[in-house]
Amino acid sequence: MDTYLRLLALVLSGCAAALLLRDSPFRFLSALCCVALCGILAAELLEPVLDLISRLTDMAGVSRTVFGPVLKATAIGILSQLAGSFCRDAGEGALAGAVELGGALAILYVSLPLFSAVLDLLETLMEG
Amino acid sequence: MRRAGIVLLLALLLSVGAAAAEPEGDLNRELAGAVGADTLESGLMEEQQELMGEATPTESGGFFHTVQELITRAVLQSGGAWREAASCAAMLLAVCLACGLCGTGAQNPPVRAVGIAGALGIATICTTHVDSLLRLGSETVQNLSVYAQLLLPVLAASSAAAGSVTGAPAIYSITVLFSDLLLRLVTTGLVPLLYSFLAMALADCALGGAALKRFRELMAWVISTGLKTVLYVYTAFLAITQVISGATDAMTARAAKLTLSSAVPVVGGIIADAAETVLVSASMLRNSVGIFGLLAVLAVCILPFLKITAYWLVLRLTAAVSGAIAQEALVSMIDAVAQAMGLLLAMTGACALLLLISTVCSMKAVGL
Repeated sequence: MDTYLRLLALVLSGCAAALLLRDSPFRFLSALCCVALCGILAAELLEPVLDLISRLTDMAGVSRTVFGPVLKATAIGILSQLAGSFCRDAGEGALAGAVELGGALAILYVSLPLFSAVLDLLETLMEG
Repeated sequence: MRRAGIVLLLALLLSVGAAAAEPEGDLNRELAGAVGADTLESGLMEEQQELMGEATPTESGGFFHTVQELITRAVLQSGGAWREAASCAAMLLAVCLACGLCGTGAQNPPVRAVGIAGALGIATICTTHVDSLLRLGSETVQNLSVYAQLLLPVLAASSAAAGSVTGAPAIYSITVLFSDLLLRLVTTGLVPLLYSFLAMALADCALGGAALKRFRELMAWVISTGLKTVLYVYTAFLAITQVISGATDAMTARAAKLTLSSAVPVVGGIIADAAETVLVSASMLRNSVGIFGLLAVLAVCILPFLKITAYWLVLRLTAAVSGAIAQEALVSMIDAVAQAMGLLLAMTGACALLLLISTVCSMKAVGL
């Protein structure tokens, strides 16, 4: 709760700074700094979630070859969304679309081991 | 005096004992051997015989007590299935939680791509488990069919011996026909359809779109309606057969008894009573064979049933819990896998139910 309140305060401060720096070239930089600080604070909230996920995977006893690509895909997805939002804030819609498309392709690339695993299983099922 | 002497001589000559032929063994056991009831026990696998406990085809003990013991033993042996299902659920929850970090509401390309990765992860985790369960379900249906080939002739023979001369062959032939039909339907039609159902669910999760969802629902409808139709038609056939043959058999037995007692002078009534005794013994044998058959069918299908039920319940629970944290596509994927387990349960249950209905109808067939 404490961390979330700090995050809230940081975001509201960032919005206030963006309003004040409306016509200044430092507006984008202040938003970037605010997001970076929010990311550091959010990491505190993310840690217990990652611990829970790690506990669930240990309980399941399944190797990381299945779970690793999923985590990488999630990380790329979060970063792509953030980058896209920044680009839109800067008035660059095309760049936002490009970074999101790039993110989607990167996610599909890291998911290739999962594609192969599913195809192998389907081949086994069809032969069986 | 001469007359008194002749009477005395006749009395001496007629005082020799008149002994009836001793039966060579227990009538019940002889009848059981004649109908082949001893093959019923040997037709079961070792683990199924363990579940049956001390039940035998020739002695009908406490049915409900034996069923209770059977279920208790099966539940105790199915602990491993629950653990496997729980570990599968833990993995699915971990994937849903990881993908949920990216957000659940937005539909921009990165979020959709994360959804696809999550769906592939779920498919990879579930496919191994689902494949082994589908094979288990097919195997159980085959085992039920094989055991039916042992049970049905014995039931028909004991039922005919108990006086159900018209009904027993009719029930036997109808059950064999529908059992074979259901086996072919399940192994060559419904199980491959279930694989397609799962593939469609994965495609729906990855690509979205109402068309794929509707196609998937159509497949589920085809499977459930196919099973229901076979069971309804079979039950209807059986009911009509029982009504017709039941009255015929009862009248035939009565007519035979009256004919015996009136056609044969002096000892006709005794012969008719002796014949009735044999019919009563045969009827008792039919009931004990029927009860053993019911228990055997339960023993064949209860462990696979519990294993599939464990996965079905756990996946349903996982879908409910992950609904709060995961994307809609991933939740619907888990739901689809749970639905596939439910359909597999229905297939196995339909085959077992067909045999159970047939056994009960054979036991209830009117003979005397």
